[in-house]
Amino acid sequence: MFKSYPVCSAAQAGAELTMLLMKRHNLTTDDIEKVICEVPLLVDISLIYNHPKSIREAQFSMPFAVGCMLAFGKMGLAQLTDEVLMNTKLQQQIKKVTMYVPEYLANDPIVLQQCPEAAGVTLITKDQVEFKDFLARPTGMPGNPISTTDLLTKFMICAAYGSLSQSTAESMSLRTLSMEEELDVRQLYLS
Amino acid sequence: MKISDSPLFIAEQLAEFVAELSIETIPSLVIEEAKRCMLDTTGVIIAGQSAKVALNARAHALSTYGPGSAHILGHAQVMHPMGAALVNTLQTLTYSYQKNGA
Repeated sequence: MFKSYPVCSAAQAGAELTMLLMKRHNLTTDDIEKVICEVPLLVDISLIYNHPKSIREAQFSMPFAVGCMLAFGKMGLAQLTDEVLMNTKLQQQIKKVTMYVPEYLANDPIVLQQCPEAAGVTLITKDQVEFKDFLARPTGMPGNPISTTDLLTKFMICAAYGSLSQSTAESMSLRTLSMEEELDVRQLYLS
Repeated sequence: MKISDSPLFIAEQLAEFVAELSIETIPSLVIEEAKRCMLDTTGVIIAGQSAKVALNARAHALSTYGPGSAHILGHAQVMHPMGAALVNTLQTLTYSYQKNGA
C-alpha cells in the first residue's frame, strides 16, 4: 500500500474520511463537537495511544491523526514535531476524538479479510447534527489506488523535506518513472 | 554431499531468479507498479535524511563499514554498500510513511 499520511496504516482511513466529511459538508473545526471512529479490531490493537506523549506514540494514535485533520486540515511530515503535538489547538481537537470496535466490525469475516484497516467516522456538530460515512480502504490501499499525480506530489513534498532542490527532485522522479530506459542504474538517484 | 550439490538457500534462489529475469518477461502493469513503489520509497528515504536518527546512522555506518561508492539516496555521501543499505533502510522507516515493500 501507499500511505497518504506519515502514521500507522491503521489510522489512514479515519484521517482521510474525517477530512472528506468536513469538505463534503463544509464544516470547520469549530463546527465539530465530537468525532466517533468505528474501527475493526486490527485498527484498535494497532492504535493504542489515545493521549500520545511523543511523536512515536502519535504515529499510533487515531485521535492524533484525526485531530491534525480537525486542527490543521492536513496530516503530514511537518506535523511530526513535539511542538505541533503540544499545540493547544491540536490538543483541544484530540479530546474530541473517540474510537471503538462496534459489533458489526468485530466479527465480520469479510472485514477481517478484505478491509481490516477500514473506518466508519461520525462527525457530530455543536448543533447535534451527525454526518457519517464508512471507508473500507483508504487511498493507496489495494482496491483504492493512489494516482501517480498524487504520488508525485508526495514525492516532491518528501524531497523538499529532505532538502533536495526542486529541479533535482523533478529530474529524479522522471528518471524513476522511466527507469527501464536508464542504461546505468547508478544514474537514477544521483543528487 | 558436496556443498555444490546441496539445495539452494532462499537467498540463492532469489538471486538466481533476479539474475535470469528479463524485463521483456515482466507484465507491463507490474513494471508500472514497481516504478511507483520505487518513486514512493525513494521520496520517503530522502525525507528521512532530515531526521536526527539519519545523521547518527550515517556516522555509525561510515565508521562501521568504511568508505565505498554506494549512494545514500538523495545525499551526496557515498560509503560501503553495507553501510549505504543500512542507512537507506533506516531512512525508509524513519517517518513510517511507506508500506509498499519496495
